[in-house]
Amino acid sequence: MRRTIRKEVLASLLFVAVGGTFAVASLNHPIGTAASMGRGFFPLCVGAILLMLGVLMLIRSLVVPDRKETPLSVDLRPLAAIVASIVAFAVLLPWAGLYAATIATVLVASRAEAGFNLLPAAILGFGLAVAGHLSFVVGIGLTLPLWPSILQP
Amino acid sequence: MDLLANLTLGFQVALSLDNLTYAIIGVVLGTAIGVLPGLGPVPTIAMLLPLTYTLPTEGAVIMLAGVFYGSQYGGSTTSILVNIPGESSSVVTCLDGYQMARRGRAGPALAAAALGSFFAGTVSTVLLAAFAPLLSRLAFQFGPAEYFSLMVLGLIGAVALAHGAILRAICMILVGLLLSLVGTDITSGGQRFTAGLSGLFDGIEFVALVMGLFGVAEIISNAGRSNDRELVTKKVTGLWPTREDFRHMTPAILRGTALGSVLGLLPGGGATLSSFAAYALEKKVSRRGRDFGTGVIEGVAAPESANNAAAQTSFIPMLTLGLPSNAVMALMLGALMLHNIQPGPQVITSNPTLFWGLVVSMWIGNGLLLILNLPMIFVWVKLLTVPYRYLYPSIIVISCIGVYSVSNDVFTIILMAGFGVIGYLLLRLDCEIAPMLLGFVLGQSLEAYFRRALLVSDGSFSVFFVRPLSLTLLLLAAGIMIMFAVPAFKKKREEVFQEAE
Repeated sequence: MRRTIRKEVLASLLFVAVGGTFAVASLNHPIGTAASMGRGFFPLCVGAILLMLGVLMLIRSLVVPDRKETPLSVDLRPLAAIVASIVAFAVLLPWAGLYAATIATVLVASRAEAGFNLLPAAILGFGLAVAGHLSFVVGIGLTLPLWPSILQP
Repeated sequence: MDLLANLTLGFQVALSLDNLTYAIIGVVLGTAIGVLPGLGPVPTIAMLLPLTYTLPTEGAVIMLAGVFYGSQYGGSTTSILVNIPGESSSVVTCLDGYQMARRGRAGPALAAAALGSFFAGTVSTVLLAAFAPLLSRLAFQFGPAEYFSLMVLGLIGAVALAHGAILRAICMILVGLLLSLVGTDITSGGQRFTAGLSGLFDGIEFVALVMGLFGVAEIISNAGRSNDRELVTKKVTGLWPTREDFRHMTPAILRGTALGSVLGLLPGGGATLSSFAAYALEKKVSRRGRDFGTGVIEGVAAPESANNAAAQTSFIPMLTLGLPSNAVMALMLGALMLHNIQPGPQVITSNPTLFWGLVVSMWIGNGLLLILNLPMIFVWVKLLTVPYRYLYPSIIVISCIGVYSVSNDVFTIILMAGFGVIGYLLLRLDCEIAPMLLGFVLGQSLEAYFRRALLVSDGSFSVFFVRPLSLTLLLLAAGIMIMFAVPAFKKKREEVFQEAE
């Protein structure tokens, strides 16, 4: 039998981790008393409840596994391509400007789909850059760098 | 008469040229995103949020509301013509609507959906105008303990009626609550959980969170899957239903509207649940229940009326109590707060132009939608032929620009990407994201009320139980939890959702 990661187990571990992290981090803040709470009080409570529920879920998933559960599957290609395309926009926008950032973003994002050729993607990117320039910068007056900073006087 | 004076005020606001324009932009955009599968109202409203900063509050809210109910109309078109639900609330419309289209009766199906929605929209607008002020009067008696209990009830109720595992959904709420606490603590002014990142000092940017969790995550799951859409009919002819059709659909519309109006009020209710419930009800009461799924007009009219009614009545708890019952209302609440309006019972009296303008504009918007959807249906059919591969890069670029414009800091774009990954993984783990958003939106108020209630009671937790209203609300919340421990009820709930699948 192939070993697969079980969704319920992973989800409960996630809740344990988030609850635990916040509960522990709350201890670095003043806790106070119920009548005069410090800023750590409420997150400590919520974090602790989440931690407990996560443990409960973990135990349940190990004792009575859900038979109908489908195995976890993650499509790495679109995940990587889409995230990289957004990061590309964030990195490029400040110094390369809207046009370069938009075209790069669309090119990277197009890699999420097999058979999406680079040329139509580049044309779409340019079109979007023009549309973005006209509607956001000219239209509603956002201040976005348009061109690479070295080209600017 | 009070109501009359108020409605007059509403008409004055809603019919001003600016606001009428915002309403039109809203419903057109809403119909477009409703028609396009894979782009829901939540990411669209999130995408538009930063762009409404500069608008006057009334205009912004009117436009965003238009996007929401417009998407309910548009979603039915896709369901009927392509058999892919444009919106989650139109899932059941596929069953009979698509069958009708295959038999060359796409026209009457579309007309039934549009007329049903218009009727439901009109009725629920009247309900909104009549009941919201009453509810807000009740809410004025609320102290911090009551508000805390109300929010607990709202959150628990939202989970109970949501689709999926209860315990997981509760955990998701708590995650949302914790995330809302990141940043500056409103009471003490100190920093919490920022890990030293200056971009988090003001808290996690709402728009980046929503765009990531709903927009980006959705794109990651859809991209790469070439979804070929097959239109049944390129041409829609013979729009108007026959007399026979009217005889069948009229009672269905009435029942759907009634059911949807009630369910929209409940936490977690909203459009999706209502359409499922209305379909199930119609199948039970109809004399030709066995024919459902083969293209009967009631199967289209009832759920479409119900989802539109619910979409509008769900504004009532949001506007009067500050309690969002679903993800879209959570966003609307966020939009109000961005415009410095603290949602609650005082909104109706302190911002009468906003409240009554919104109410009237919803009714006008519904009329506009009828015009948009019936005679102009061919435009939307054309839109369906735009492939997803051109769509998703555009959504990414617009989102990036929008998120950047909120803070003028690329950190928010990265934050959005981060939440996109988190949202995608949560989707893959079968964890519903909507409860997390509700938790995130309510988190800070929940903490504030919790603190205030205990400050007043000098640290005694009994304050939540000795005040009768607060106790009632908590008992209701406990009742809902217990109901889900009863296997018979749990089964019934699953049935309602699975009926259509």
